[in-house]
Amino acid sequence: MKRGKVFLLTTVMAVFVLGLTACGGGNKNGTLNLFIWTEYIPDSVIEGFEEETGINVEMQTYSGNEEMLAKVQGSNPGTYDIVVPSDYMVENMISQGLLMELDKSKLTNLENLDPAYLNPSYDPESEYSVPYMGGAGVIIYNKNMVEPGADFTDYDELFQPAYENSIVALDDFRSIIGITALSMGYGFNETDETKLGEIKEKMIVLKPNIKSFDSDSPKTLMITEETAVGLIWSGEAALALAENDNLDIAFPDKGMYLFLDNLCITKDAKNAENAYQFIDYVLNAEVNKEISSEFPYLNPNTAGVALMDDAYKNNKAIVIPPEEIAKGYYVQNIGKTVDIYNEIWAEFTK
Amino acid sequence: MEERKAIVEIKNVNKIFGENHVVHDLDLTIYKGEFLTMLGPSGCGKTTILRMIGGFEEPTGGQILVEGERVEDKEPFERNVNTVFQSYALFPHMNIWNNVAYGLKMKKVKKEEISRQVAEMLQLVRLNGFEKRYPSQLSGGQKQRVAIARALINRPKVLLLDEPLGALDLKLRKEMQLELKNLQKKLGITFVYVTHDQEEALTMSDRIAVMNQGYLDQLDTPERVYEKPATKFVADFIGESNIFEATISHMTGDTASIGLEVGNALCLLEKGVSYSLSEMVYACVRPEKVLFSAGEAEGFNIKGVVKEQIYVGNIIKSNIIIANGQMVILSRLDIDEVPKVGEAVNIYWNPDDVVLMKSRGYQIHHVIENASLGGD
Amino acid sequence: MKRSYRARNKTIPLLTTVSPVAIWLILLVAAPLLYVLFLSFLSTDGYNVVFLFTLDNYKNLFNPTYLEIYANSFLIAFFTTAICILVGYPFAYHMARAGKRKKTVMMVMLMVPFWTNSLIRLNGWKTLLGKTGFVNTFLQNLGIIREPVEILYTRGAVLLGMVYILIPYMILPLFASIDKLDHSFLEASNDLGANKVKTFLHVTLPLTFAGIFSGSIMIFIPSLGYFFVSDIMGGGKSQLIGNLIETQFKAGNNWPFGASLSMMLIFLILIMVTVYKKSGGDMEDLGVM
Repeated sequence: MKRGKVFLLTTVMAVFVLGLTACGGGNKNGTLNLFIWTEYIPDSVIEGFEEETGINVEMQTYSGNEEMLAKVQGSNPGTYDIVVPSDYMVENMISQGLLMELDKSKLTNLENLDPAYLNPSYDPESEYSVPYMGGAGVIIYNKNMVEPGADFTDYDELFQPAYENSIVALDDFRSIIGITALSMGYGFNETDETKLGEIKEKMIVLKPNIKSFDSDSPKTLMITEETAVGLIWSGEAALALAENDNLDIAFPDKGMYLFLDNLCITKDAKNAENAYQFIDYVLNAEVNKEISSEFPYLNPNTAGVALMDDAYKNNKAIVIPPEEIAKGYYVQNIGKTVDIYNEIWAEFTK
Repeated sequence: MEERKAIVEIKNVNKIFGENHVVHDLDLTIYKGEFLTMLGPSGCGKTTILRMIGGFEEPTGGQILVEGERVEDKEPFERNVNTVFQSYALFPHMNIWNNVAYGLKMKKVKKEEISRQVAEMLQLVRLNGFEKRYPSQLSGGQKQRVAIARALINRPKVLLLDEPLGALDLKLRKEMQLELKNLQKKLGITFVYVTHDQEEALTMSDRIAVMNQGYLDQLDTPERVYEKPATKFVADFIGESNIFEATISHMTGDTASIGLEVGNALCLLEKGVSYSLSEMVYACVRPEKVLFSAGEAEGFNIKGVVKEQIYVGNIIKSNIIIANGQMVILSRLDIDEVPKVGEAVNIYWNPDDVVLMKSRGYQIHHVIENASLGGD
Repeated sequence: MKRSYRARNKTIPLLTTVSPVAIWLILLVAAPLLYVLFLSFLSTDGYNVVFLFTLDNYKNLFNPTYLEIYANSFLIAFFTTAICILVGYPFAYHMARAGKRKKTVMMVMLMVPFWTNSLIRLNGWKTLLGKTGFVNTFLQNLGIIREPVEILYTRGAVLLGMVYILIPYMILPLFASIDKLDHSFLEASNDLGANKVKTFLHVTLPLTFAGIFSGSIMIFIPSLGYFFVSDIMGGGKSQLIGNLIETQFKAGNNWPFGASLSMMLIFLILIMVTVYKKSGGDMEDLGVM
């Protein structure tokens, strides 16, 4: 008897909830299914968009590119309208035919973007992706703890024996192998086996200098002066610079390691029109300012940045000169070469 | 009889665990070569006494002497005693040989000597050939014998046995009782044996110490403990007894007339004990000593009705209900004359078959008297 | 006819009682394991898994660089286990022999840290051990040291983190085996001429060996795999088998190789448990059955 009752109750509730969702779906201007990183867009922006357009936003979140890909591949086509893949994932999704070619005429606010972020290696014509937010692998250092006259715009500075056990670096084998390659004049996404052999040799010099690999909170080590030099994401660097006046930042000449997350519309998006409206809304300078105020990542939206306050604009780790960005590199799919990278990394950290 | 030599002397020993006074003012001398049993229900303090002799508990007060030497502060292995534990406590990770050899190994005895003695001990307990087995592969009786061999190999002056047969079934227990007794006679070692089984105590012991709630109620030979229980508790605990509450109504010479709740009876006064008129006593009569007749016997008028009869082997027990509802047990061999069920009978007995015991009230009085004299 | 009827009569009740557990086991244990096994024979095109049978992932296990990582990992696991025994045994012994109240207090002390995520607890250690952390500041204030000592981001720190996270898994089985050790064994040994030290060596230690062994298995195996300890306490500079596996499933994107590494680890565990069982260990003492 009791079990029967519970079952009945569950059914009634399920029907009720389904009914509600259905009602939501019946909103006069339709729905938008947004699939985005956790903690990556302010609620106020979503609410503002819903108010302005009457479109109901259904948001789901993920915490990894691979997770997002698996869900997109695993669900019915068109389940998600907008996804926010990082650079290399854009390339991968394009190659798998998962993204829609964008009709740029529908994106009037595209001009707000800094051209330095457009036509990246992973989407050469910017046909499928609109830059949203990102970061750069910058070098920050403690002026009191490094050699006088040290020049961190040169990657080779990191390889100096003077910095034994005093560097915190991104816990990411592509970044370490990539910048070592750059310091030798090779490609960030080098695939030549002979060159990779040389790169491996050079990395042996770097190894004793690394105190910790930390991608989660390297700023702490810089703020507490546990380490003298950091090869870290600009977002972390920005917070560190604000906390400790002894810290300074350098943008390596040979180009930085970049990541960029992009707003993309899925190939089979059911609400493509709404998706265009949403992307354009996010590109709007005022809206963009709202986003940047809450999440101080690298922002490609020049118009939005222009509206920010001085503390923001003067933080060298937040507003990075476009020419430095233009020199930067994104991680690319290197095919089976990744096995060699894996081995180099194992060798490096064994 | 030759002069008996004391081997263990317990002098005014008390043991208190927290708020539990487990052993009260115990004085007890154990003689060389005797088989002494500590008998009592669980919680009477008998095991605690054994453990204090063995060195596993320290007395709260008093002295314990082994061979005239005080041992309270000594480690168990520094006393000339060894213990056979209730659960045998055979080391499960060692084979029989190693178990028996353990004591000698600890004493760093030479290897050949150990081998010789272990073989001898296993021979003694008839377990030669079992050297390589592990305790888990032995039966209860075999484990028991290993435990004894393991203790005896240390040549103790006193062997302490804590309910050693408790885990065995009845038949095996009877066999082991005999075996233990023979072993003790053969070796001439003093055995201090703890049990709650009165039959075991009666068959094996030279003397029995009956313990009751931490007090030593009686210390005597099995015959005396059975025939002349010193307290109601002893009478009750050992064998079957009919115990009557009574007051002394009349005394002539060594015979007293006592008044029971349901009538009068005669009994012999204990020698060397003083009684007063109207004193409360307990009269104890063993079932086989209870007599019956159709008419009243002289000096007796206790009437009852036979309620039922039970056959125990070749013994017939008749339960007779008397006026106050008390059940009196009368036991006879099946060849003897017995009353019929439903028959009204008069109960009586031979006055010297009665044991008169002072009641608790007397004991308390005694204690207060002593205390006020500042003595004890 | 009759026979089949009877059989069915027996099977149906059996199925209804067994099947929920069976389903649960298949879903949560067997299926993922089979998936990992299957995965370990597949190839990759550098990014995506390709359905092409290969044994390369297993060949790759014997790459000298990886062998060095295993060796390093085993070393850390060995020392972690050894330290856990040395520290855990006295604690467990004390706990087993303590009064009821003290026992409860010690048990709570042991269990309370479990209520906090281990990552958070490890990061707590970071603030204690850093250059400007409590330990260094304290020692400097006392004048024992002049310059801060490097504690964090060393192998010692990794070891400390491992011991800290894993030691309850040593103490609990040890406690169980010491607690159930019949006190009369110790008394018997004492009675037969052994003092406390000899009794410990000849009786207590051998009789609690099952606890030591099961504790060791429960520590040795996770300490091969706890990559986050190496990441947080050691700065990710010395990879353990766990880090290697993690890399394959994340940044390295070589799931098939990660799967073959996982299979290797599972195989090692099976060997250890078999050895344990063969040497007379009781599976119940492992607390897993």
